[in-house]
Amino acid sequence: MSLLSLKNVTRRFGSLSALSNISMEVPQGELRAVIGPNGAGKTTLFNLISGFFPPSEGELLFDGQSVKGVPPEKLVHRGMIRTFQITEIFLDLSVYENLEIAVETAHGLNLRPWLSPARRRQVRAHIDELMQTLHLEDLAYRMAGELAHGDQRVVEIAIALAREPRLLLLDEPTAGMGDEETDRMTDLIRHLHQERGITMLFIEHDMSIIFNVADRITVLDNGHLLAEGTPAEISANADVQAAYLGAAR
Amino acid sequence: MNATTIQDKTSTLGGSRAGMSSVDLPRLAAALVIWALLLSAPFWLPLVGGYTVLGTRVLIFALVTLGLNLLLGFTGGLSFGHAAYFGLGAYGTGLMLKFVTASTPLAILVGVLVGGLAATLLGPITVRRKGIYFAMITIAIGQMFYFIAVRWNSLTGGEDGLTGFARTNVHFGGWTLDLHNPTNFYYFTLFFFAIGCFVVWMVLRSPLGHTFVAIRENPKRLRFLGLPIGVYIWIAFAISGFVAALAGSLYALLNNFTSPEDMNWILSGDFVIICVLGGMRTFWGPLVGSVIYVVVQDYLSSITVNWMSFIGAIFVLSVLFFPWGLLGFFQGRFKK
Repeated sequence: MSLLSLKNVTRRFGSLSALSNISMEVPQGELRAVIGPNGAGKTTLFNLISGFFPPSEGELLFDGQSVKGVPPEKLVHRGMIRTFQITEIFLDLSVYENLEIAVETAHGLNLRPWLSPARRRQVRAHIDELMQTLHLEDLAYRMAGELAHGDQRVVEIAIALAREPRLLLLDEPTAGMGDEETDRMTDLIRHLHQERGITMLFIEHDMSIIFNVADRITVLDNGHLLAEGTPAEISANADVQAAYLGAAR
Repeated sequence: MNATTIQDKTSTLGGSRAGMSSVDLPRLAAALVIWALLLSAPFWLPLVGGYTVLGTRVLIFALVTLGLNLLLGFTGGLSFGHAAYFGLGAYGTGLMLKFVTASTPLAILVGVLVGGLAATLLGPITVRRKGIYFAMITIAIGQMFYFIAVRWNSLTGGEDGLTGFARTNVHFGGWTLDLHNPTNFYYFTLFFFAIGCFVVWMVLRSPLGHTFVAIRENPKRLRFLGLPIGVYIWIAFAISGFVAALAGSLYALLNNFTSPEDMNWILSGDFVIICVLGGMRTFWGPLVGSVIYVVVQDYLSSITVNWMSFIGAIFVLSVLFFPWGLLGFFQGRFKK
């Protein structure tokens, strides 16, 4: 069964149809990229899936249940979490403290004014494990605000991972990154997908990443679903080529 | 005192609480020096031109602002209404002693419950708004209590304030603590100040405190981790309300008097000024701010009735040159 499925989803803003009649299925464990020229509706699709606003028409299912109209803070508890195009982390806290708050939240400890030593160790172990997975150990005691942009994005992904999401939504994970940082992020995404089997959906502009790591690609154009398929199928698709060349011209 | 309290900032903003070793030596040393100074205050205060009651006033202002700072400095909620809970604690205790009981501990308990529960019940109304609207609602609610105190003459004594009660000695089994002795009352107050410090310190190093700081830093991020942040601001509001009520209760006992001025928004503003002066994001900032406030008030009010304008000038200079308060300034310089 699909983890995420959209059935004939339309989203209108006034008279503008930002998304028209989109249907897509993301199976468990898949790494799916969403691409499209500017204004194609990628961000609208993302905001819609992550609960910022409901579809005007159509059905949105997560794990077989309708999540139409469920706000983002509730979706988190069902296992869907997103990152933002503009990195949202705690800039004035250290990397360790960023992960600490994420892990404590994931374990549902926020109301506790006191932790037993055993629980403290458990939290600490989870933080250490996250820092190891994402290679953040050396940055643990640095203020998040002092980090390079690429490292901040990794911290944001670490925060999201603390909740052990079933579906991770990444909004342009490599936006504004240099080549080296982009490579690192690509490796990280591939690692999370392959080693941890996390289902991921991401918007991306950088074609090299998409064709490198994505299992399948969904192409949007002007609010419509233009094509869907494996990287090989998409790169051979005449409609997609036309849309991109058209957009370039 | 400043030079010894330099490391505080790292505990809530930096990595020290995450350190492998749980002992942070500069912090520990600072805390030891502060407690040594507080414990010995009745002995050295006369030597520097002070007196014991001045020390008690510092402790009471430090207690209320320590609680307020949990909301203001650590959670990021600007309240201009905490004098209301301070005043409710004062009136609760005063009225108990005047009309109901001769027991000081019982009067304190009632004062704390009245002020604390009022903050707890009214919290949900305030936390629905953010920023300047939050501040406005806290003022409005605070002033409501102020006007009740002014108008309800028969019970509260109106503008003249509540008189006709006095703190009584405390009995533990066969042992009596003579609270009429100012030094004894200082240590009595210090005991409650220590409880307040312990509570705030515990909270700040717990997941609850981490959540408060995270709300101040990035409420959006926290909301998208699935937390209903209003609930947590409410909790911070309630805790700070209980601490303010405790301080107000002690203030009524210190003066054997309370008046609507102890509930007025002007006093709420003074509490905020104390936090900002001392350093909002530091644990000991409120104590430092209270020392400045109480000492300046005591010294200048004997010279001029316009002492508040000097506090105002100090506040303006502090905001201009030490935006993170005195402690924040020294800590920042030490860290670089």
